[in-house]
Amino acid sequence: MFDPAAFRAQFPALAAEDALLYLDNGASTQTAQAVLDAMAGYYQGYRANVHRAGHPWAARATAAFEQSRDAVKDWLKVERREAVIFTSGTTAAINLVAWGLIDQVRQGDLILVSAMEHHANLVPWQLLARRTGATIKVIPLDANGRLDLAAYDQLLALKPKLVACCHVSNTLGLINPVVEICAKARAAGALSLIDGAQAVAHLEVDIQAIGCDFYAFSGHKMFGPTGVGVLTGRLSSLGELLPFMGGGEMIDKVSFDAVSFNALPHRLEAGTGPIAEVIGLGEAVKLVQALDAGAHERQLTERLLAGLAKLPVQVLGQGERISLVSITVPGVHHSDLAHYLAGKGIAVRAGHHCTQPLHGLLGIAGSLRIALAPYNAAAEVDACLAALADGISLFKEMA
Amino acid sequence: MSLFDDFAAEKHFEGRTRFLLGLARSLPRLDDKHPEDEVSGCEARTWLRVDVADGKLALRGDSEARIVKGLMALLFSLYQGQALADARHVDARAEFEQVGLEQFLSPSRANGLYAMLAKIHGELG
Repeated sequence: MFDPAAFRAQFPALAAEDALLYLDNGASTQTAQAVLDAMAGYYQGYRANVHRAGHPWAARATAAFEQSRDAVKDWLKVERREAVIFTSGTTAAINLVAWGLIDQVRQGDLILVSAMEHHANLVPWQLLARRTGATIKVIPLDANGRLDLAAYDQLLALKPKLVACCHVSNTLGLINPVVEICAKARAAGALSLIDGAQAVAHLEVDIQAIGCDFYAFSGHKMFGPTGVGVLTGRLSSLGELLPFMGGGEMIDKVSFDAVSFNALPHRLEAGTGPIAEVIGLGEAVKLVQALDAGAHERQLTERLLAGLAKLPVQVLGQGERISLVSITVPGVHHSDLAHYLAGKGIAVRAGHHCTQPLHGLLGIAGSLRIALAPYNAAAEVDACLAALADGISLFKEMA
Repeated sequence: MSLFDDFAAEKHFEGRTRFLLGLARSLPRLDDKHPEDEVSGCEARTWLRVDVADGKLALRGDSEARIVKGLMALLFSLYQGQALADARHVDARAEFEQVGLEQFLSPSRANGLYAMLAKIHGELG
């Protein structure tokens, strides 16, 4: 049985006297004490580079680093530990794939992206298209903000090379049917990349069940450190990627004339990675794996949506969602409201949330995003709703 | 008493916000918004037009966000109608600091304020 108070107690920042009422978890969650301890333990006790040296600290660091790889493999049911590639985050992971496909994508090839993509899952494909002469088409949304799967079927008939889609929209909070999306992509001969940045802390993710070629996520949205993330997916698809960066452990043999590359995962992990952060990520994985907060998060989300329904606001997107809701308020600018909430000690996000094309499609410049985590409490949702109501009244009164 | 003094006299967040909203209301709407007048670096779309008539500054502006517009009105109070030679000696940053405007604003909103200031200074030469 999930105990919200016990979970919350694992986050020292939330217990600070001047702590914010933190509802900006879609951007970054807070860091758990176990994660902080693991990182400090490395720096204070056995800091050394991994994989290379033979001394005891290096052996201990390497073991801790590789334990994190095993933890990710077990958690997300990845087929082999070699298919877990550490990166600096989701963005780096997607760029790694986009660069890695440069020999496989040709002029006239088609890349499909969904209309709700974060810039990190759009711009790398635009760059790849620019470099190769490929074109990009957008999978549209239906009136509720969900992916239009009939339109997707039609686009698949054009034989795309790759389909890029988020597991959960960072703006709408909606959960996409990634199993279906990936199965259809594969049947059409396309590779699939799923941006899991918003999903891994909220949903049970099974990489093999999803059937994607590539899956990316970040540590800092799942109670772990910043500067670390993972690219995973199908080992055979990862094996086809051209290394994006050269140097360090990614080589097999190097002469002045030639280079041959190491096996996965090292082939795609050039240079010294964020060792402490990878070790910290391993702790975050344990924490999320043991988490059973689905019911609690659903209750909080329902409470938030019920409260919002009583306010003069519009919720973006209707459908199965995680505990993330974006709103617009007719007549009140989102940045004004965020300023008001910040003044009341409430942290939310206002702006385009790095989904400018989606906001353009919805005909708005920005929105206000409330993103909950399992450490949030019903009283915090109520406080946010009350402050929203007060803020809206003030801005309307002073219009 | 300057508007900055009035702002400083409001000790609490709510009062300061209300004060800026009142200022925003006092600033006329800019109906002819030209792309070249748009100020980048603000969280909301913001336009600022600097004209000089008889050697004096004539400022007009607008923003989709009212806190930004209130800040604009506060900023204008330092420069509006000033002779160019005098306006060059105005130390707006010192005024912001003295009334604790930076603590009241988020970094991105403060950046927007500085972007407006930079635009005025750009026109002063």
